Amino acid sequence: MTGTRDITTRRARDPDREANAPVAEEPGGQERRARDAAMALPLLGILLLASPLTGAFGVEGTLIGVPVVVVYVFVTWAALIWGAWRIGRRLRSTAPTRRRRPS
Amino acid sequence: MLSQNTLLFVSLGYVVLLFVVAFSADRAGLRRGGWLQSPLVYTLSLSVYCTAWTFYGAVGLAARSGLEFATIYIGPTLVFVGWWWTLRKLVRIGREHRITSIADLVSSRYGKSTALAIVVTLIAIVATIPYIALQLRSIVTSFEAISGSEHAARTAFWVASGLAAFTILFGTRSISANERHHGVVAAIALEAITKLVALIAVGAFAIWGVAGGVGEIFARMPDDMLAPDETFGARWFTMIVLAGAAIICLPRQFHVTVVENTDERHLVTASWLFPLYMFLLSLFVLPIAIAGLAWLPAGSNPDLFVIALPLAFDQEALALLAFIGGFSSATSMVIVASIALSIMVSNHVVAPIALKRMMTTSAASGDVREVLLTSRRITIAALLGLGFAYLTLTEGRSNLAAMGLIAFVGVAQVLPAMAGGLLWRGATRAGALAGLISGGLIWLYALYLPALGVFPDAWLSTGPLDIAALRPQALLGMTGEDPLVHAAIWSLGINSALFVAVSVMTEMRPIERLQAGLFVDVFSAPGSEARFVRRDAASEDLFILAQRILGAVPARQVFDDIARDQGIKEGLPAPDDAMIARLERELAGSVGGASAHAMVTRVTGGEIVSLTELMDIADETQRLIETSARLADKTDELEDTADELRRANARLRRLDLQKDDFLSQVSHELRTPMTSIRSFAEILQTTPDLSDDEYRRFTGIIHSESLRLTRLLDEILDIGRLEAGQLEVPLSDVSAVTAVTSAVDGVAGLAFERGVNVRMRGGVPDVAVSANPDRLQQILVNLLSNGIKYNPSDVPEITVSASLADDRLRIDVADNGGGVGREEAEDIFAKFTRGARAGADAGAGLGLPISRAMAERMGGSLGVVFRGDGTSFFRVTLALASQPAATAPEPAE
Repeated sequence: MTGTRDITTRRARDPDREANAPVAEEPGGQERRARDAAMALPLLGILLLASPLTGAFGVEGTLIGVPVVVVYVFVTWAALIWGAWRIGRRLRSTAPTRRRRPS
Repeated sequence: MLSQNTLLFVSLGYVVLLFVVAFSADRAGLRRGGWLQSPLVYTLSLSVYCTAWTFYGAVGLAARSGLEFATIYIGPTLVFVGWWWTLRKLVRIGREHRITSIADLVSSRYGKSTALAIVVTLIAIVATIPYIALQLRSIVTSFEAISGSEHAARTAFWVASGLAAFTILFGTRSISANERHHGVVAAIALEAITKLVALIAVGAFAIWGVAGGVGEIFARMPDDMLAPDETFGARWFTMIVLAGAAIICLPRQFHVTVVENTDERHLVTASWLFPLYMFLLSLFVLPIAIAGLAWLPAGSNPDLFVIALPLAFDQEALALLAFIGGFSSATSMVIVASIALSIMVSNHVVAPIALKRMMTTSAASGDVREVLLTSRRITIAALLGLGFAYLTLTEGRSNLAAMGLIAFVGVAQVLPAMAGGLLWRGATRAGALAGLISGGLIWLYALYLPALGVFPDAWLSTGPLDIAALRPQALLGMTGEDPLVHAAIWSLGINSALFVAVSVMTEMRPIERLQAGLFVDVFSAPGSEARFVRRDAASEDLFILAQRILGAVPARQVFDDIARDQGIKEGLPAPDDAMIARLERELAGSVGGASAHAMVTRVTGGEIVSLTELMDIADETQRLIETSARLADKTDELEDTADELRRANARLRRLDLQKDDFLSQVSHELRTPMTSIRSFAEILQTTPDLSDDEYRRFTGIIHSESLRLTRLLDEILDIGRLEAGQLEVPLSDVSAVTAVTSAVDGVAGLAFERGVNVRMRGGVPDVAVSANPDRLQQILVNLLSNGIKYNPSDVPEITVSASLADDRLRIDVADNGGGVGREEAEDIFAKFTRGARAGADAGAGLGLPISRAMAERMGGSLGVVFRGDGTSFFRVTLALASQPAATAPEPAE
């Protein structure tokens, strides 16, 4: 009898815990997303700057007086840096902790 | 033109500033921490990537090939933005294993191989010397351009000497490569800022001072400069790949990124800050190049636009700033590159030799340390000397500028072995060696030597000995490609192919397997090899070794630390596996993994790598697969057990029910004779005038009912004793013929009464069996009478047959009623159970269990045998007597 009661009370507690879970797991989820982004960003960079796709932007013409191809390369480059900065800010709190080298 | 003296004075002043900064930083570094260990300083030290080749050469490259210069910075940007993939792992491994150089990394990964370390060191030296020459030359030419002086060689000599002095002074203070060179790092950071400020200043001058705005400067751009539709060709991709490889594989780059790293979190900052640094540097390259092409006289050297442009507009202060910027770029590269190379040479070339010598000479505290530090100082001086010699020898050749990219292809040869080693457990030492050597040779043949101009022109056009397939810049007839792309494809292609192929074909030694596991799974595997390697040594010997390598005081400190961690207050620590592994790691931080391992192994006199422990760090995936397979097996096993339990439970329930049934039955059975005994006894008591006949009849009934009761109780007692093993069943040799015949005779009366035909089929073999005659009789009669009593057939018949099989006698008793069903075949042998065919006059259900127990007691068996059609019969099996018995007449009941 006691065993049965145990099970029922444990079951009864479960939904409670589930209700709290999204709040409790939020930082972990954020960290995971930041990690995924850290892995995806260089792939995006390769796609934009070092793949056949890049060739599509090798066109004549200017944008506010600057050649399109120059604008493309530098704007993409800046965007990658901005992305890395955003991801870095998210990851800093969870990055590997400082380990002191044994002296 | 600035006067030569002003220039010299400013240069000297700048160098003095560097010395002061380095000196005070070294002092500050001793107090640990502070701004010197900030991510900003770490990032600025990475900018050693941007050499004079960047400062002057990027503008030159932009003037000649448009946007192509950007690839040199886009490749590293992609690597740093993707730090999570590679750099994070590199830095972690570098810290865990006290890696001192890129050669050390490759060697440690492949079982601490000295051969690999030497090959990587050689490639690095060959690639770096022209690179250093390039830096010296850029200082000289910029000096000439700004002062109009002609004393190039003398300037170069003094510059080289000054750099050597600085590097030796601040770069070889301590033997431990992991101990940061604070002075050097601070100086590099200062130089990083100087060159950035200088280039931005010149760029801003070009845009707003010369052209008057961004739109205006691009309006003056020559039409053919960008050639957008040709920009993103094979050369674009090749150069991005090469630059990406270089940012990891260049010895100086590896040194600042991995070896000098004090905190893994600095990488997070560097992941965007270093790309931003390169971005800012690149932003002004195109405008300077356009301004140079548009405003400077035709034929000006594009590599000197950075200085020539301010000079042309009489901006002497700006020109001086530009000169200092270029000077910074060149010196920082030379300093770090020579430190990194000197560590590689001392640890991988000198240390193995010192190790041999050390064994033969008497020990002196710190003697190895002195040898290594001296060798590093000599290496630095030699590298700068070689760079200077190279510069003088190739004086007047214009192809020196290409040496930057050529060096990139050279160091990229390390990439397959390094990246493969970090990601793939199967990579072996032989594979790495094959890849590195083949790639290195192709690089020398197809790119390096042709660029030096050592091949006769005929070789380049028609191939050596007129073999066209061996033309250095068109191997196997591959023409139409740029020489750089051609060499990169061939060298890296063959390198990777051989690396993979040889790795697949060769076996790893245990130490290689161990290192592979520790490197590939650095984030999950246990960090120390202590668990896997068994070694023995005396603490005293280890202490002497440490003293010779580290010096007396540092060695004492290391041993005190270890002893304290072991909980030992005084004296030397206990030399267990963990202590030896830790000491080896400490030494590796000074002399490299391969040398440290060799030295410690000499002292311990061998090692045993525990293979079972190695399995623990087996491939994660493999481990998961095994675990889930084992789990599945367990589940199957559990299900089987549960099934068995369910079946046993059902059987128990059935038996329990039967027992309940029987108890009520047996009470009833006992009650019936008791009731008649009691009632007849009452009649005898209460009726005085009974006739003699009646009196005899009544007492006769009482007597027979008592017999029935006794028999029932006897049966119950019998089975109880049989089960407890208390019933004596003496065995003798019994004739089979006699036993069967007398049993059939014994039931003849009952058979006649019920109208059942009992017949023998075939004869009974004339053998003797080992049995108890009475009990055998009881078994057979029981089977026969069951068949007679419970035969549902209309024409009931019983067949008895006997045969020999496997030295045993089988007696089969079959009736034509179909026998028992399969589902009750076992139950009927349980106590108190009656078969489905048993009617109202059934017995107590003890006959069969008693018979079976008896048969087993006699060394035989009793069971139900099923025929193909589902009918069944009883079979008694008996052991034959040791020798045929005489058919002695047996008393038949």
